[in-house]
Amino acid sequence: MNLNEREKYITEAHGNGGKLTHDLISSVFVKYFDNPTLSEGLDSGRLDILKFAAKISENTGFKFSGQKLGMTTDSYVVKPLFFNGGDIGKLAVTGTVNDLIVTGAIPVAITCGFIIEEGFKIETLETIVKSMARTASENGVFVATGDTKVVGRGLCDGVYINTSGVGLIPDGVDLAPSKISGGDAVIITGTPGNHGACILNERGGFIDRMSVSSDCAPLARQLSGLLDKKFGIKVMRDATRGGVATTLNEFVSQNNNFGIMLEEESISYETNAKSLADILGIDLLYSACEGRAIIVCPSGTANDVLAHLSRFDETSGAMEIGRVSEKNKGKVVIKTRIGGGRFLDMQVLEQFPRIC
Amino acid sequence: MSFNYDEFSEKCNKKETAKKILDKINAYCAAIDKASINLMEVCGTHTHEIFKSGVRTMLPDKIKLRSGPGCPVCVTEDSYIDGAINMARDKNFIITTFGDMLKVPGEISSLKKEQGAGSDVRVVYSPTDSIEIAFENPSKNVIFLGVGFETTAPAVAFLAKEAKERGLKNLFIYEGNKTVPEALKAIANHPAVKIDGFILPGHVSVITGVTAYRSPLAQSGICGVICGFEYIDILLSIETLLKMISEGRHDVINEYSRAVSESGNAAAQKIMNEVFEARDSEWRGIGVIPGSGLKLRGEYKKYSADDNFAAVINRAGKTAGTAHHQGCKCGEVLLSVIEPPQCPLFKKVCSPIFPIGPCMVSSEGTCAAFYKYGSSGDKIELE
Repeated sequence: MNLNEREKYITEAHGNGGKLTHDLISSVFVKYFDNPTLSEGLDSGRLDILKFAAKISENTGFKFSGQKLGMTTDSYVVKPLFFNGGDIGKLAVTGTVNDLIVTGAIPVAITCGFIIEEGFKIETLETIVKSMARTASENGVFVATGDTKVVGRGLCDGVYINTSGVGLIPDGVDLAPSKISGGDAVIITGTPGNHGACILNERGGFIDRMSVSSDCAPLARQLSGLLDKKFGIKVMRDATRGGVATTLNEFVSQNNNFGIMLEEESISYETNAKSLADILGIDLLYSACEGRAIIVCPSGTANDVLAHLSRFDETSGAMEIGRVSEKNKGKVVIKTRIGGGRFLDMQVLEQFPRIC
Repeated sequence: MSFNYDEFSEKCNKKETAKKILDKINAYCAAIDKASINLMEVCGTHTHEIFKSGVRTMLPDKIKLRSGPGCPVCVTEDSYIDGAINMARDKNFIITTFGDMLKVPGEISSLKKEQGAGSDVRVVYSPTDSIEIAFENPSKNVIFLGVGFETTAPAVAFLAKEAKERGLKNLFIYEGNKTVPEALKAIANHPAVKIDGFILPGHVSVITGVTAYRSPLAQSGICGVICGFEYIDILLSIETLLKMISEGRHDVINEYSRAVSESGNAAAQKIMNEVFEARDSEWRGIGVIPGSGLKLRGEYKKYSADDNFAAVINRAGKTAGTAHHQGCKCGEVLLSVIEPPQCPLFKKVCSPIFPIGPCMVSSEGTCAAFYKYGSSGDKIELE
């Protein structure tokens, strides 16, 4: 359907459940998200779990007799909506896909709820939806159901998106901080903190926009292979808000029988992100990532894990950054380049507002 | 003594270099016949780098690194902040300030709280951002909070010159700039402070040059090293201080010669001297230090908020001098008489989220550094 001039912008009528709402759903959302579940047009999407389990089993070899689901939700309010390396739509799918896969759940379906500000350009909305649809299909998930609300001008900042997701957890997969033990290796799938640095740069205009790129990337394909028990993965987590340091602190606070010792020398950073961070006095270990997972595995499988990750572009920069230690229980410590040490506490203050 | 950092950075194995310097530090330390050697860094950025690089954890126990009053926000007295708040509360005023000042509690409130209550308080990244604000708001008095050491004073002086050249009638400076060398002298002679050597600030020295420290430190008999901001700079400076202490010398040595010259930045000094003159100034925790503050002079006096709005600044609520928040020991922290974990409020009620004193408020503050890097008395086991 062609939108006439008057209908190029979102109005409150697009959210009242009437004709304009339906037009918007069919001309934008269904157009890009279309799939058999959504096109049933019911109040909720119906998922045939066994069918999905069989399909994933065929592709990956994992078994699903336990029928264990992983479920997650997250809201996205990033500013600016479009940044170097992604946009709010890509981020909204990425975040939820990553939350599922790091829990050991292979993503199947997501939902999406849009809160849109009156006056928002429909063309921009379409670009965001298109980006969501592309990211979803590239990662083997589909949008099973959705919702749209419109709020008055000034009541939200353009558009906010909520996505929830469900995934299937293969038999025998049980990732948790309680599994961590002394000597385990700590791996990150790429340079830390790029997303936070990128958003900061987009807002402040400090250095050339294209020189700092977000790491925003779904990791379902890359990480699902690691669920094979031969890797012995103990726990995985995506280092989003609060960055790597905060994520590691979550591990030691949930299992304080050990400490984590990072090696400053082993951590490499993306050069431009590091320069920007140094100029602004920001620590990239506390800066958000949107496409980096922290993986804890036995030291014996660390090289296999790194070899697996190196096969994919998004995780080709994976590196071992430290070890789990019996010392400094309940703390994250970094051994500095010159051989000194310092604690890496949980992040206290936001380094940047609204980054995801 | 000085070295080319870029060249070093490319060619050297940092760990090995650090180890070599540390070996020397250990040797000097053993040779010095003292129970403890107190070295004070007088720059918030040094404090942070010392923690970040782990230098503290590598030094012999005998060496005590003390953090001095090196954060301009932290040494700003309550009465100054209360005066700024009194102006902010008046609808005829717009306050422009560096962001760090916003959350600092005075005796009556903070600028952040006043902003929330409707006062027009704006964060600027350069003092000259105030010029446009003054042009856009001809009916308001725009007040820039001139807080900072020699590193910001030239920019504040430039603001006064610009105001004059553009004929602005509604732009004023609330005078709070302070200078470092006079304060060092006061600390060196303070009865409660026991210092064997100063790690002197790098950025401030770029402006002042080495000369500015010679006479104040010579009189006190304490040695000093002007230090850069890389951890190797800091280790080298400590080594140099120990060498001087072991030889009984009290010179000022410039380790940061890749940025600091003997006489400093002449252009910056010229504009400062043209616009400002020295005056006595009150430092939180230390008291009034003669000649350690800057006041607008001559034809620039008319841009002084202090002179023009004394009645507003001194309205009810403003404290007479440095008031102490109950239990807050920022004063003692600034003099390095205690370390932050010894303050009863540290980490218990005072944190970066709910800061009580300025040393926790400012990101450069000593308490903020201790909090951020988690050294609240815990010992790190490295091997």
